[in-house]
Amino acid sequence: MNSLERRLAVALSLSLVLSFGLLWAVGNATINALTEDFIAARLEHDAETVLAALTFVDEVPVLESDRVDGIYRRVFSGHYYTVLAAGQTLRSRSLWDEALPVRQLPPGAVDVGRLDRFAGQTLLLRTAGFEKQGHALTLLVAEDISTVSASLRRFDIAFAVATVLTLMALIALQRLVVRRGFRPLDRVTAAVGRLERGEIAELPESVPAEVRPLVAEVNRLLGVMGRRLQRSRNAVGNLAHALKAPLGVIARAAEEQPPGIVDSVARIREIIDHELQRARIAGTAAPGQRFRPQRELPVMERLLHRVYHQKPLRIEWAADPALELPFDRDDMLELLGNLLDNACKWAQSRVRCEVRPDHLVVEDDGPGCPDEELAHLTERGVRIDEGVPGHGLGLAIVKEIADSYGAEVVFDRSGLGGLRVEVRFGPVSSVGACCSSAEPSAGERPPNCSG
Amino acid sequence: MRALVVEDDLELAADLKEELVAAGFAVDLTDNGEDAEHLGGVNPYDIVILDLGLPRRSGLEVLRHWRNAGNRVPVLILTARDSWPERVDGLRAGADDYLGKPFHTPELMARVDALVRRSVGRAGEPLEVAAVRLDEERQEAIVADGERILLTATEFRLLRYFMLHPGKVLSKGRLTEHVYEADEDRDSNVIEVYVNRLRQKLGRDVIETRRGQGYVFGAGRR
Repeated sequence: MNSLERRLAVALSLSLVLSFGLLWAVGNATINALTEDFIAARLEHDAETVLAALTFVDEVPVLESDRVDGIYRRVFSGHYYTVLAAGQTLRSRSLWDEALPVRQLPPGAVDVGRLDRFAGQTLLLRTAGFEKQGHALTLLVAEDISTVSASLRRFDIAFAVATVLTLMALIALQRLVVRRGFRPLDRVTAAVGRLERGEIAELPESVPAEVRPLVAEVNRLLGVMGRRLQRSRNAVGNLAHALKAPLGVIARAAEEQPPGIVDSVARIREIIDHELQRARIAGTAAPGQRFRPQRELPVMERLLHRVYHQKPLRIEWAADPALELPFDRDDMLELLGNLLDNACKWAQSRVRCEVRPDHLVVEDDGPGCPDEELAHLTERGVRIDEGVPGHGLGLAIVKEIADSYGAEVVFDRSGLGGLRVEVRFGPVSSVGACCSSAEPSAGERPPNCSG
Repeated sequence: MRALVVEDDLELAADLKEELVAAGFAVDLTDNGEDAEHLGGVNPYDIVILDLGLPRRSGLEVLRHWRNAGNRVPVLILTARDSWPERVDGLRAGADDYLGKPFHTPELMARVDALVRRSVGRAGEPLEVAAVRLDEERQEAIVADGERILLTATEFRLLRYFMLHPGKVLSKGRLTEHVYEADEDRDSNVIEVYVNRLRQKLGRDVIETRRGQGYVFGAGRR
């Protein structure tokens, strides 16, 4: 059981049940003992009356009937006595011809007991040993306590019912209190979810003091991460800028040189490109930087038409106008851009792109890839060969971005005839799909398998 | 055709200018954002090649200011910052095309050409108006009987501007602005001289004079 709330609720309920059970048991026992003590005290008083009426005449015990209460003469009145003295047994008339169990007791000894089912009555018996006029005697006085027992039982039941009801009410109340107490934590959980989906930039800090340090720390780390990403992206941009200008001069100068130099310059450029691109991957949804396909795709389409202006390309794309993917915008632009670029490079005339909440597909009508190559590209953990100039640089970066989001890249044959690349996002997040194809290589490679 | 090259790498800028001039452009150069914004605001360029990392004012800012002021000049961004997010943002800021550095010069020239043609609504097709065909590679005009006529650089620029705007009245001032660089001597009478030379080479009625308004190329003879 990992929920604090449930743990708390169970522990509190358990302690409530235990203390109420104890309360009930003690209360019950006390009331019963109290009643019994009270009646026993009355019986002691009765015993003294009987004792006063007892005299020994010629060593024979005699009870002067008129000195004891008339109630002892009424049959089964509920009040009884029995005297054992000098080998004789005197019984009250109320006993009729029943006998009560009497045990001889030495003077001073007292024994209190119960007798159930005596002529339909429950009796409390008090037996005591006395000495009177030099004779040891045992006197038993009994009283019917059925009425008192019945009210006691009623009280017991009422007490139990009240106890259980109060217990249930308290448990319910305590549930409510716990629930309310944990509500701020629910808000934090919900906020974390929204943060994950990129809906908010940081967690609200209006939370209970117990979790505030945690929330504050998360926010601080978010800030640090965001700034670090921004810094490294800027640094990467500056580095690219700084490197590319001299490289451009070299490339232009190399245009008049033997092809080997041009290739080397191109290769240097690709290495720089790739490493810089890799350094830019955020790999998480940056708050407030969600990817909106509907907003970005038209611009990307325009860009691609410019780049491939010498080709009659039809770029079709489909995405729900309201779709927002909870991924870093720059990462998604880079991923989709590379897939689309690759597709356009190989396409004869058509490129199709589809973005859905959980996947995106990019496909083209180019030459495609041989099946074994497709299977190889799709394998998890396979790094697309970027060592060969002109091969798969774009797809390599696509795979790396996908990896950093836990997404899967699947290469397949397209219905259009060329390559179909699908990026499947993990179950946690939702993403759309787009189209793709492999890149051509400069020369002898199978068409469309770009690295 | 007049081009503005905004580039702070002077060596690259010089190379670019050379290529563009060879392709028949009158080229103005500047190496900072402020001057670029001013030049683009006062001169009717047919294309601007804009770097982004500029001293004094960034290229994107210059571009946004132009667009906000209603300046629709075709702009090609030429920058080392060519990641997809940067390219998308560049287009969104109003650029018409985006090319990363380093680049292949033929690719740049093809993109510039495509942009210029798109901006006058003539994408792709070879220029052919009023039985005159322009060979832009060799900067020669080909007339009806297949004869190739050599053109000087200025004649070529003027003829191409005429042919990109056929049937429209073009004033001497407008022709001057599109054919000459900013620091060249701009006597509009020189236009008359070049118009006459083109008439001598291509035939008198190829260019019509509209008194007080300007010239019309290929009116009624298309």
